[in-house]
Amino acid sequence: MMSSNSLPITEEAIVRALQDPNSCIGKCDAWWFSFIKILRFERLLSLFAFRCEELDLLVTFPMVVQGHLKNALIMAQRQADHLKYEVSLLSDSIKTVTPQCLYLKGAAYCLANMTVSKGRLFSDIDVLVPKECLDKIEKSLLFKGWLSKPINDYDERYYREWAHEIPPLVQSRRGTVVDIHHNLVPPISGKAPDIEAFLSQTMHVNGVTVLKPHAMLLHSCIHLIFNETFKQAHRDLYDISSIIKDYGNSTFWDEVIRLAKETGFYKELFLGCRYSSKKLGYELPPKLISDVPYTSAKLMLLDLVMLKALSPHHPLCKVPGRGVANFLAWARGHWCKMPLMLLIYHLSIKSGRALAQSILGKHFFDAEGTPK
Amino acid sequence: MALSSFVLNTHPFSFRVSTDIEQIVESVKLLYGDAVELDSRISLPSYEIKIKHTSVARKLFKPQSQFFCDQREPFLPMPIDKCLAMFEWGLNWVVSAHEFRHVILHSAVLAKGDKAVLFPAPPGSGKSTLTSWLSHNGWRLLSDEMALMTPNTTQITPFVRPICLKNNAIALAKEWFPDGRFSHISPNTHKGDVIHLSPPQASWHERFNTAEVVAIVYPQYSTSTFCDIYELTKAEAFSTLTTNAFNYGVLGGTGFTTLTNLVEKCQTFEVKYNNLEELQSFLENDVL
Repeated sequence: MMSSNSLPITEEAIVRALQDPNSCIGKCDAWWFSFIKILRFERLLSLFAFRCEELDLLVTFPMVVQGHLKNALIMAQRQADHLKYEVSLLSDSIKTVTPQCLYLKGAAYCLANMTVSKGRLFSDIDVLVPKECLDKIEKSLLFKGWLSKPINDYDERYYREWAHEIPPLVQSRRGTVVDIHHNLVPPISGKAPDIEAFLSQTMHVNGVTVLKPHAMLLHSCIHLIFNETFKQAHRDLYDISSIIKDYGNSTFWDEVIRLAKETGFYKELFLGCRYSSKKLGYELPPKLISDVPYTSAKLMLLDLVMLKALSPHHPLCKVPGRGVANFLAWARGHWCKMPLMLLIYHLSIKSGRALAQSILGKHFFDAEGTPK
Repeated sequence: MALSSFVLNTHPFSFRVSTDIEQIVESVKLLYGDAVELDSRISLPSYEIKIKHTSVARKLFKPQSQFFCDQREPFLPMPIDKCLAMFEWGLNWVVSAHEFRHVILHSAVLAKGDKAVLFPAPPGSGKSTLTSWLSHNGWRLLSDEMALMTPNTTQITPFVRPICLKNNAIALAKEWFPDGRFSHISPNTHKGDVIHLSPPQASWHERFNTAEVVAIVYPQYSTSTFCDIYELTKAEAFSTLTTNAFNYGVLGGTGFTTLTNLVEKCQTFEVKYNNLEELQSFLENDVL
């Protein structure tokens, strides 16, 4: 939905604003109106708010902007507080079944009190447990009010047979969502690593188990690159940059490169760091840059597609040729995730649905996938 | 029809609204009066709202409206005859999903001067009927549905919007206020038939002036009871208040201290009534 009199903002201006909020002083109202909408859509509003507050800049902005930024700060703080409470309950339930309970991504950054968690919103809590314990854990969480969202039979089968996680569970009273994983990528892709390689790279901090920072970086890169939709991926570039900035010494790079090669995710590590550093403008160590896992032609093609696909996706942030790039990135993501025959089957079901929705309206199917 | 666009300047939040639905333009102008600014001085509204037909094809067959806050679509589309209800509930959603600087209670607030009474109540308790009555009988409306409290004070910021009347209350209000500015009826919503009524001018004029809560009154309309008044303990008042809070969960500790402070500083009552004049006289003589 585009408003006729809204001012577009370039990706460069958005990146600059986040890195140096001082560059926003004196911007006109139309710019702010667009900027706030873009940041909220990209889930970067509270990160911007946090950086502005650190620099004591809030008071220099228009009142309406101050209001949005204060709201974003309150929301981020509340999530961080609430996470600790949810995690204590979750851990109690999971630990009745298995001692292995590894928190991932946003929840882990926050529990370990890392810089990357400051002003970072998350939509769910990600936790990794042994595959053979999934059933028991799901049942024990059911007794505590964690229920599966209604999904259709095809999606249910997708999760249960091919995915690396079970369908999201929602806490029926508090609305919190937990994603329970048994691997980092879908086993159907044929690329799922021996998860022990990651489990040996963990640390205990503030009463929970999380990956060590170098393994967090690798997981963040896998999450970013090993994907078919990049709709809200722009934010992940900031996660990668923040972890590198805080922990990226020589040992760190040796460890992450070794882990990436051992688990078969060196390409993801390379591309994730490459695009984060290109977009946000920082240096990577020579040992990563010099070890290119692609031919130069293929890397050029990937750059062409991915640099566009990883831009902010809000319609007010104009990126020429983004539509085609998104499609190619989407096709590549699926290609990586599924064997060809299964991919054709998956896409035919999804596109049949999309076709029906484009004719009959996007709310034609209910949550279970039955036509209304 | 082309998109029309205007700014809805409701203090303390403003909305840039665009729509291709004629009924929205007419009804919003009727209900919000001067707060609708076609050529607004406000160049930085708080939120961008769009309410529009779902598609050209569906304009001809069972037309529907859909509501957007920027790119987000919080509700399923609704039949076009309910578009105004969708718009009003959409604005409520936008505020409660984004605004955490106030503790927001699901409550009517009315005041005389700067002394305010909160009327928190679940749907069906006759809250909006009471709101419309008092606002036309010497009180000013601060809000029919959303009380905006400044954290850790008893201060309420007005958020003046139309009053939402349901079912039987519609005929009653039309009889009481023959000159009232009423919208069309949105029929058969999940709350039944609903109509929106613009509050009197006095409420609009004072929409920038805050008020202090002096009492919390839980109203319960009851056909068989003339006017029974019960004083509530602070604990009862507090627990009922938390069930009527929109963002109590998000605000955590701040929400808790604000509400405990509030019930400690206020008188707290529950009233069962079928006579509005008697209730009004109790409020004016014994509460304020």
